[in-house]
Amino acid sequence: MIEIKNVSKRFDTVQALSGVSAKMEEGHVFGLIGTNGAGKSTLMRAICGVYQLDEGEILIDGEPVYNNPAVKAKVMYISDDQYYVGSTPMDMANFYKALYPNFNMERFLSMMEILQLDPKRNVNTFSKGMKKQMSVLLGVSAGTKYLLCDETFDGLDPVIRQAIKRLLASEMEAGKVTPIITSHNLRELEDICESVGLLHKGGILFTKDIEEMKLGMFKVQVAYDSNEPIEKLKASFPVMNESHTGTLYTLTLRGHADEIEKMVLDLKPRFCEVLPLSLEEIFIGETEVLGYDFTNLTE
Amino acid sequence: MTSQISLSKLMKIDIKSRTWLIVLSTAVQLILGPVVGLFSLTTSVGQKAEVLINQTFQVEYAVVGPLIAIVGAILVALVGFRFLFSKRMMDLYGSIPVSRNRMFLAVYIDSVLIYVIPFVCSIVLTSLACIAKDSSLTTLILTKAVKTLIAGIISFLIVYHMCLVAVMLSGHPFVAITNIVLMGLAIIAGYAMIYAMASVYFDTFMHWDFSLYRVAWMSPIAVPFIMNSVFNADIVNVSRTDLVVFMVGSVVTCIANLVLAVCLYNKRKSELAEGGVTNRLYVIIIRSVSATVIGLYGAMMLTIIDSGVGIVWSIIGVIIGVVASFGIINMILHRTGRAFFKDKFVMIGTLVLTIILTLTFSTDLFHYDTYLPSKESIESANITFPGYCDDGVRFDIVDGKIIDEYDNIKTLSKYTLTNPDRIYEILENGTKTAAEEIKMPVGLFDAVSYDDYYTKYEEVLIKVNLTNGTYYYRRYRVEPEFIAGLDDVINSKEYREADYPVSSGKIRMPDAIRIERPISENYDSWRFDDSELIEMIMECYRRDFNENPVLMAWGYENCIECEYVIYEDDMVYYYDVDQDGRFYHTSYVYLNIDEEYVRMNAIQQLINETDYQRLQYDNKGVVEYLKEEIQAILDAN
Repeated sequence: MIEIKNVSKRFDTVQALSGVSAKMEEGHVFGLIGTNGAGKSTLMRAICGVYQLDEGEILIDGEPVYNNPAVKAKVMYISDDQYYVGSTPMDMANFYKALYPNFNMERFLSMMEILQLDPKRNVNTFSKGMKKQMSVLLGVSAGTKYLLCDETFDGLDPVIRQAIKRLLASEMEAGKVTPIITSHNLRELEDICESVGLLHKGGILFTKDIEEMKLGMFKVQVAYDSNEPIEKLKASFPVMNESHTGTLYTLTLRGHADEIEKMVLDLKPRFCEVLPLSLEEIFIGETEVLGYDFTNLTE
Repeated sequence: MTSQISLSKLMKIDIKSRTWLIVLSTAVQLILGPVVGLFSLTTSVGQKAEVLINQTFQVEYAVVGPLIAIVGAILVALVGFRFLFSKRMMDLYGSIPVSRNRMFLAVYIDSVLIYVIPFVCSIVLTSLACIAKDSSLTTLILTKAVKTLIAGIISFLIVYHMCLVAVMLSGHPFVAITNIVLMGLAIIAGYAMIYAMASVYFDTFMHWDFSLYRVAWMSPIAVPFIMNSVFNADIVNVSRTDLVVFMVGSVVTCIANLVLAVCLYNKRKSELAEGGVTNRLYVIIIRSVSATVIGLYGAMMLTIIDSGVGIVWSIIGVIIGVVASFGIINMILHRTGRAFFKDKFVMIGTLVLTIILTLTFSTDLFHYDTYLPSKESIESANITFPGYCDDGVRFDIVDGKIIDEYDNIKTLSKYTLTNPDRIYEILENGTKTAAEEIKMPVGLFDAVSYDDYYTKYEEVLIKVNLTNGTYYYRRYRVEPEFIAGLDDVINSKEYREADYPVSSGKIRMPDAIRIERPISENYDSWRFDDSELIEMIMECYRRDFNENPVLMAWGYENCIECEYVIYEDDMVYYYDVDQDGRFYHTSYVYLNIDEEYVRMNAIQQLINETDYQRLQYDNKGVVEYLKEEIQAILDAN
């Protein structure tokens, strides 16, 4: 388990992380989402021991990670802009093989073959997506307990994206690895992550299971004969999002689903449909409350 | 699970990423050593093997070697720890399961090996080539090789360790290089600047009894050049104490910098990559020291253009120097143009300090020029009057070799005046003249020219020894009338014997001789190289001198010119090479023919009366004729 305890990190005048606490359980895919500049990459670098913390501590299986080779050997970090040692994927694989004793070269080569990536080709001639694929394969082959993927799905085509997701899921199911993934593409995380942490301005807002998060919000499309029931609903529950076409309202409300549903139905709607909540809507809803709202940009 | 990769494995990984540097280091070292050496040894015709071997070791290692050590140290430090300068690389190298200490050790050892192994190979191959050229000189060759090896490795390590400190403080290679230059040269530049300020602004400054060797070890970039000259050349004017200070200081600096580099590396934050320098204490110190030195340089530059305009220009020079250097260093160390005026108060403080320092010199704030101790505190004084015995080539000849050219300090040690009244009289006169408005010209456009200055005054160099055991040096200018009053000192037998650079007892037989005719009488001279004739003339001179040991002053008339061919195998520049392949330099000593010198005047008279045509076309006959006549002079006296 990765435990993040009251972690703070400052860069000159910028407070990148401020009192962040979270737990990342083994056997779960953990997604780290957040606004731009929220500190996701900083937190990832702190988890893998690149950054020394100003305050707090990060424990991996109960031990601090910074400058601790034994703990670092359990973590593999795939950065957003990976540096490649040597000139070919093979060089990089040999580099990791020397550093990570469980590195599985055969598996790496076979996966490279499946993805039609030449292990002896110069990495500089690879596209951004090909480099990302190679990084994930290296990460999976390293045989570490935790795999930190920073914006790994960026630049991958839909087919490869799905393939990578399946690969990570199967690795996790086999109990081989616990992936921790950051991404701006919340749709991607929704598919694969079981729990997420939401970062905003260096502080973590929450870490929850995705299903549990959805329980705290309720999205409904509803039409009443008058505006009065709508106003009653809005007065009873915090509105996270609202739109309407004529008398057909789409409301995202914060609160317990059962209570909201009961009230919606008690107000006798002409039409009512419960809609599924996406992670993106949760993200927008949660951050909007904190003033992360730029809808006025076009006004 | 293995907790950490082994050191050897890590070194292997590191070295693989630096193969180009290995190739470069090997190529340069081999070209510098054996290739150039072999070329020189096999293509030079007519030169002695010993000379060629000396040349191979000295030119190639003592001259170019230090430069290679410096560039090599900078390169291996920057390339070895290049991952510290890149955020992408830090993400990778910071996350892999290797402790900081082990990573440092692996890169450190690899870097040293990348330089040292080719260097050792180079010296071994060069030595073998030299031995093949002349195996009888094996001992000499091996001695040279070991000296070069020790000097080369220490030189490399002292620069390398300083580079490591610079790298650990910096987030960008350019910032690191700037730090290397500042750290590597700041102290020695400060020393040179203070010395230069004293020379320019103090009218009576002649010597600072604080050797460069005592501070050189604090400026690691300067060390390789000095180290190699210490090991490979004949250093005769450096005291043993200074050499010990230099060597011990260099080794201590070397070790201290390594320890500091390790500490800085362990504390270094990964986020420093691609940034400037965040160590505030270091920035304050290096920036202020550098700006002060450059500020003093600014003052000097403007003073040298025209010292007549004085203090105002000095201060303008300081302001330009300090502000510009402070701001530029700020911009580089903080990696932003907006940092030019960062730490304004520190900049102002540095500026004020530098102005005070400049005023200390330019206004002689502490009365250096006019310092006059009490008569009671004076014990003795070493003294010399350069104008009265300056032959323009002030040197001693020992065992046929010239030593200590223009060494006033050595000359000063020869004659001691013990009469406090006499000493005080000289000091009083010297300080009085020093207080006058006319100063020694230092500027390009000064109203007083050097000729004006030197024809108006006579120089007195003095080392005043005080009763409390301390001493100080001064170069006073005094009026000729005052010098005339010191006739009893200048014309004393003790002073003459002590002060003239070549005393009669030291004169060895010249290789050739010229006897000058007086300028007024058809000035000309004839050169004789007949050893028997030379010996006879020198015997006449010795007898004359012993009877009347007056000052042997320099002059173009009424003197004999003794020509010496001096072989200097260790010094190859500006010398000629004879047919045996030996480097030689011809030097001349002029011996005055005093009015009282009966024999020498007789010889001169003889030459004056000798028929010109006979001398011109019948030289051989003249030699025999002169021998007979001079023998007659010797027999008669």
